[in-house]
Amino acid sequence: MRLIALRTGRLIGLLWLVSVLVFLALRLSPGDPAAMLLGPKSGRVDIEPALAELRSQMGLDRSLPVQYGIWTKRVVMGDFGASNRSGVPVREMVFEALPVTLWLIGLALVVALPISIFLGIVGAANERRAIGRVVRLIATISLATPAFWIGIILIEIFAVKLDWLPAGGYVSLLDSPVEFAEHMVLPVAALATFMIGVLTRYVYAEAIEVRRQPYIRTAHAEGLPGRVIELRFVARNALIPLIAVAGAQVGALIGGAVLSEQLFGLPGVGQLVLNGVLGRDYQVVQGTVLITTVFVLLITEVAEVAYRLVDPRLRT
Amino acid sequence: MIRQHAGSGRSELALGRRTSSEAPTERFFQISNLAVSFRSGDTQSLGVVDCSLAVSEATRVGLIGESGSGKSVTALAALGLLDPTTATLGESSSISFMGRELVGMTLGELREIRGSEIAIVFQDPMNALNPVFRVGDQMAAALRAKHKMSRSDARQRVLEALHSVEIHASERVIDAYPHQLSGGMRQRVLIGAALLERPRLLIADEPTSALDVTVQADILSMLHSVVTERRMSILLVTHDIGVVAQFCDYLYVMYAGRIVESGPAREIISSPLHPYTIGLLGCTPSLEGGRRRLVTLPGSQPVAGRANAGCAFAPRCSRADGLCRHLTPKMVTHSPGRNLACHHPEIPSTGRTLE
Ligand SMILES: Nc1ncnc2c1ncn2[C@@H]1O[C@H](COP(=O)(O)OP(=O)(O)OP(=O)(O)O)[C@@H](O)[C@H]1O
Ligand SMILES: [Mg+2]
Repeated sequence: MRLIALRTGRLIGLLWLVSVLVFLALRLSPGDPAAMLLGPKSGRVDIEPALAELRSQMGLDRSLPVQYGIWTKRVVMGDFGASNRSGVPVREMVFEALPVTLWLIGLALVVALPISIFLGIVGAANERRAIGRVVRLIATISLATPAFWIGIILIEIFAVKLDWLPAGGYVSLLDSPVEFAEHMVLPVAALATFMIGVLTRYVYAEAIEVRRQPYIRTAHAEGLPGRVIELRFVARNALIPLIAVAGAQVGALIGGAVLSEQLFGLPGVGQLVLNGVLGRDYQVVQGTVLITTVFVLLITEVAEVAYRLVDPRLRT
Repeated sequence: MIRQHAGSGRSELALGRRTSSEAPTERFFQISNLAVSFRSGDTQSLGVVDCSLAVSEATRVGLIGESGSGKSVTALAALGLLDPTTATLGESSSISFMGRELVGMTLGELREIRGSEIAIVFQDPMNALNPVFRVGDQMAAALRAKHKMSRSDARQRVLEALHSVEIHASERVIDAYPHQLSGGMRQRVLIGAALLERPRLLIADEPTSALDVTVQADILSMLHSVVTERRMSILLVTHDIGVVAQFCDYLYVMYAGRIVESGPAREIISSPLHPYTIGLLGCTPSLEGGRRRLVTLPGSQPVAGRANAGCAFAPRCSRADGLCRHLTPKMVTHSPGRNLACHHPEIPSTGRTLE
């Protein structure tokens, strides 16, 4: 009970911190949302009164604490405001973009996890043989290669040269499953390649550590076949902590996803924030970041709980 | 597969020659001239210098020595469980079991023997069980994988094994995770797992050292009755002379990687010949924090094989002279059944002399 209270407190504290940081970062960076809205004419003197009016309409003439207070009050009541530019409510925009990002991350994980687990376990089992060396090399290359670079190569080959797949864009699964799949293949492949580097490295290191444990020696002393020892024992011991790590890495994975979205023109959360920042659309950026943060924190929490459920030592 | 990179350090390892007739009936299980060196980076160190011992059918043999004398390394080597990337066996090392040579066997061949013919119980019951599998599942793994047993048959066998190690709440223990069990219970589980495939020889590496005295006694008496009942052989590694007195028929004393004395346990305890053995026996176990500890002899054991010439015990021995410091004593038969490596052994009070 106390634990739940503690966690909820921590969650709220984190959200508050994120909201303040985003708020400040936006206000302190140069660029005037009202001027952006009025477009290129805004440099002229005769536009000044209009500009001032717009500012006061948007509440930008108030002091920062007051602005923050007003915004927080609305958010607490579930109102994230609307886009300066389109007038569409921020909540709607986010809930339209979020599935795109989640699909991207989810599918990339579905691809990357089994491959990473296989590579990591087999690599560790053959630590000193060629297979081990190859696995370490794959992990290093995949980790050292920037995700956008992989993306560019994929686009170059499959979209430009071979013309098999679209180079970018998005079609909702509900509109056309086939087109959805076509549009997701390349971004998912790019993100998965990046993930494989991170995850393989992790599984490999964990498996190497597990293989040195006395309980693995016990398994060898019982004459168990190597296949059983590696795939059943080492794998389970090494993979349990992976759940927690995957949860904690959601932030980093979203970072990779943002890049991938940008490159492939996927209308996900990353795009939303990026366009919001470029257009000085304060409400959109603040709302999107906050809602996404809630999601990340929830996933991290769930992963931690799952970890506790799966590891018998932590079960109560 | 256990022999790798033989050749390096050969001259050092070749020191041990078979010079004496060993324990009774050499057929069943025999380690001869075992030498193990460890390589880490560029440095080589010896874990075992020269160890020869034999266990015959249905006997209980003890292996005793101070910490670091090479007992565990010997036990691990017996089943090829040393890490081949760091450990190397000496050229003339041989380990034979029922007529088969284990040194040089492939991993596949060794696995046929591990668990089913020779089983081992490790020193540390806390970490020897896998923390994320139920006790029953990890015990059954060998039966299911090697003998293609069905899940329910394997479970039945595991329950029987748990009964045989006197675990009464076996239905509860079989579904427990290791962390839910006490140290004594874990060690019983490990012994049960070792007995599962009815091996002929059990190597038990200080099976009770990590446990409380009362638990120690219970487990040892259980082990004694199981081994006797099944007419199994056991090689019991310990550094507790009290355990040897109760448990063993025959005894090997190890010092700095070498066997220095061997003979029937009762005879060695009543009339030790090697000054080191005398020292060991003189150190009565004391009760310390609920655990039985061997009060170590004055001075410390040299790192095995580090002392290049002479008897490794010489620096701590009151009888040591120039001979001891320059010439390593060989194992020789002292009297029927008793072997020893010492230039100046104790002359037994019975009147028998050395020559
Ligand atoms: N993997 C290893 N690498 C290097 N040296 C080792 C290794 N294992 C053991 N040794 C060394 O070999 C020697 C013998 O060790 P061993 O574990 O056999 O002693 P022991 O007689 O079992 O002692 P204890 O009573 O403490 O268990 C020691 O000097 C130890 O440091
Ligand atoms: Mg030991």
